[in-house]
Formats: sequence, C-alpha cells, structure tokens
Amino acid sequence: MNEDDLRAAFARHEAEAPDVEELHTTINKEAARRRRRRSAVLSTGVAAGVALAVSLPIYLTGPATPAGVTAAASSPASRPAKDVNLLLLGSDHRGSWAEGNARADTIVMVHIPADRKKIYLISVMRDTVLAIPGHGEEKINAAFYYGLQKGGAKGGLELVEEALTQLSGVKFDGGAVVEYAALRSITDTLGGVPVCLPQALPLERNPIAKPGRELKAGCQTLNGTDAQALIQQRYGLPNGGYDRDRNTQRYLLGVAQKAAQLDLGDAATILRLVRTPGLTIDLAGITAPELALQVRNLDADDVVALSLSNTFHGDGRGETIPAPGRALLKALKEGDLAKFAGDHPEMALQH
Amino acid sequence: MTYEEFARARLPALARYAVMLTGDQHSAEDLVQETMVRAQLNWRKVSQAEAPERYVKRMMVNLYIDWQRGSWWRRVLIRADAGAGVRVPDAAEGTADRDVIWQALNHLPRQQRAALVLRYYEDLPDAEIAEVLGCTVGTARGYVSKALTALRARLTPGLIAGGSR
Repeated sequence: MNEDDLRAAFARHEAEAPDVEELHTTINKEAARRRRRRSAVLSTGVAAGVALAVSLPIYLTGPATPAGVTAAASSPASRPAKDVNLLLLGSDHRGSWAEGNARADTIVMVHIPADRKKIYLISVMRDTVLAIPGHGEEKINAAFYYGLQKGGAKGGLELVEEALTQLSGVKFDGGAVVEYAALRSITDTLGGVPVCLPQALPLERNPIAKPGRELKAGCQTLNGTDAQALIQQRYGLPNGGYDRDRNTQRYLLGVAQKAAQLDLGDAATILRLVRTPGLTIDLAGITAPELALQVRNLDADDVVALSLSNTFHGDGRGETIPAPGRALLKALKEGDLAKFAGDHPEMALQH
Repeated sequence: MTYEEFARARLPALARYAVMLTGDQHSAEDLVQETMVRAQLNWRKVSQAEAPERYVKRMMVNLYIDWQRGSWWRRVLIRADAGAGVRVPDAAEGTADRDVIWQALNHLPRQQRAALVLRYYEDLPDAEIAEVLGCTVGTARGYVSKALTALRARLTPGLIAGGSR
C-alpha cells in the first residue's frame, strides 16, 4: 500500500456522504430544540432570585426572634445605623443537574438606607456585561458560575458581589441564593404570593406552564408553580429580560407583603422557610435581629423597585448599562437613592 | 456570514469529511449533526474565528476523538434508535478486495485515523494537522507514521496471525 492507494480509498468513499438536505433540516430542528431547552434552563434562575428576595426578610424577622431581639428593639437609637446592602440571586440550578452547573439569572441588589424608611430593590439584568474579577468582561450571570466552581453557592454569591462592588463601589453585607425548587416551596409555605399584573401574560413557550396557559391581568395570588412560571417568562415580552425582571419585582413585593404578615410566633413555618432546601443565606456582615426589627414597620408600599434599564442596550456581547442606570448606581453609592427615585419615576416599577 | 449561508456552502464537504473520519454513513450523519448543532448554537464564536470552516472541522475531529469516551455519544445514542449509529468495526460486510484499505482504517486509534484523513484527504501540512489535533507537530507526524505502519502490517498477508478475514 502506498500513499496514493490511501488517497484513492478516501476518494472512492466520498459517495457515502449522507444526504445533505435531510441533514440540514435535522440539524436546524435539533438546534432549535436545544435552544428552547437552554432558554428554559436559563430563565429558571429568575424565579430563584425572587424567592431569595422573599426569603431575606423572612430570615431577618425569623430565627432570632426570642429574647435578644426585644432588647435590641427597646433601644433602636442606641447605635448609629448605617446603610445595609444585600444581594439576592436566583440560581437556575435544577435538582437533576451536576453540582456546579448553574448561572444566576436573577440579580437583585437590596438597599436599606440608614434611616430605614424604605427598601430599594435594584434589578441587574442577567445579560449585563461587566468586569468579573479574574475572568475579564463577561455577562454577570457567568460570575455566579465561576464562583460556584470554587466555593459552592456562597462562592458564587461572593464573586457576583465582588463584580458588582467593582462596578458600583457598594459593599454587600450579605446575600442569598435561591433555586427554583426553593422559590416554589417558599411561595407555597407563605400560602401563595399576591402579584398585580398590568396586563395578561401568555405563558408562551414556558418551561413549567401548560401550553396555552396565561396569567390574567390584575391582582391575584400565585402558587409556587405559577410564581415560577411568572419569573421564567421572557418570551413574548417586548423588553425580554428587562420586563421579566419587572415581573420578578412584582413577585418580590408580594413576598415582602406576605413576610410582613408572618406570625413570628409560628416557629414551625419560620423554620421551614429558613431551612428551605435550595436556599443559601449568607448574612456574615449584619446583625440580623436588629435590622429585622427596624425594617419590620415597613410594608410593601415602602419597597421601591428600580432597574438599571427598561429596555435593551446591547453591544453584541451582551447588555451595557445606559447613562440613567449609571446615575442610579452613583446615587446608590452616595446614599442618595431617595432623591434619585423621586427624580426618575420612569426607572421604578410601574404598579 | 450567517450560519445558514455557511451550512448551505460547506455542509456537503463537512459530510464527506465525517465519512472519512467515521468510516460509515450512519456514524457520519451523527457526527455532522452533533458538530453543526453545536456550531449553530455557538455561531457568534464560530463566525468570529479566523477561518470558520477550519474551526468547525476542528470541532468535528475533537468530537470524533472524544466519541468513545462517551461524552456526547452516549446522549446521541439515547435519543437515536439504539444501535443505528454504532460502528462495529469488525463486522464482516463482504467487502470487495479494493476496500481492504478502507476496512483496515477502522482498526486504527481515532487520533491516527484523523491524522491520515487530515493529511491524505484534506492534504493539510503537518503544522495544520497538529493544530487541528491540538498536539505538537512531532506528535502529529508520529500519528501518521504509526498509522501507515499499522495499515501496512494489516494489509500484508501473514503478518497478522489469523488475520481478521
């Protein structure tokens, strides 16, 4: 056998190549199928983020309620309060997935100013590109993934915190990571969560809702499954992920409302909420009972939900933060969000 | 260039290339499909490559070499009718004499076969073969020479005790 024999053998068998037309169609179908699955998987995290936002106030009001708290409550002015910043992440991890396989699809910065008169939620769209320490410029949802590889859910939380700190100058005092299963469980444990939708939301290509289903316009109470469907729904929304973040905020307002009504004497429920599997809470930097008491007088009307943008500002790699969003971050850093929110009603959730 | 344009222009060549690597039509179909689905889902990255076609071919070779390790192949098998795409190298298929070389290729380790395809079907220089296989030029040359030696041994009667057919 010489090299030409080999060339000839290859050439003879060219005719065995599969039919290209058929292949072309099969490839496109399979790619479309995987794309659908991929987006379903990615949007799962949004729901988790919602659950996280819900779980924080519960945690704060919950576990430490006994004696120590009362003491702190009696002397609220004994120590000068400072701003508190928390980070709520929704992870898209699913039970059947490998351990380290998750991104953060819901990213909400929670800001509680020193005067404790409001709670600000600031949504960062998951496709926002920013510098991730040690990984260059990438979408923020990848930061969670990288951190997860090193240090589990807390590692993921920390790397997202670091990236956002680098971006905004704001340091975080704690945070939580919520998986979808936890979101459903928390919602159901709360006896459902009220949301008010400005218009009907068809759950088109929704990974969890039955085909053809939609959430009706107006105020309603969602169970765990519907809450997940709401938070996952990105298709059919004119501003995609941005509109979805707004729905997530609506859900979080409902959670805040429900959490405020919790009977703190109902230890079983509180414990069940705090220990929800798939929920990771890291409150290293704050004294929870004290803060809980201080914010306990607030209700859902005192929660101001902001976003860095209402619509797309893509640059081909992902989303960039437009000027008003940058101004918002500056106001956050300077402790001036009240004025900013007053001046920019368009950046707040339209109820 | 869009994915659609790329596929229209290059799919026939990629399908032939897959046949050379796998040695049969069914496996080639699976290999091209898996490669092109991945290329389409990551099209932005592929289209930004210096030479998208070479990039896709490298993806294909890597998938082919990983085949046995089960990473994607197992998943393909689950969804396909089991067995349809499985290569049974020693299946006696009543081959004509002139196809003994083609048959003998099935006995080579995948890196070696890939190296032969790249040199004698694609006519690539050693440096590019090494690039595609992700190894040094020396290793790539080693694959080619070992493959040729193995083929010659197999095709020379009497050298292999109780030859395969």
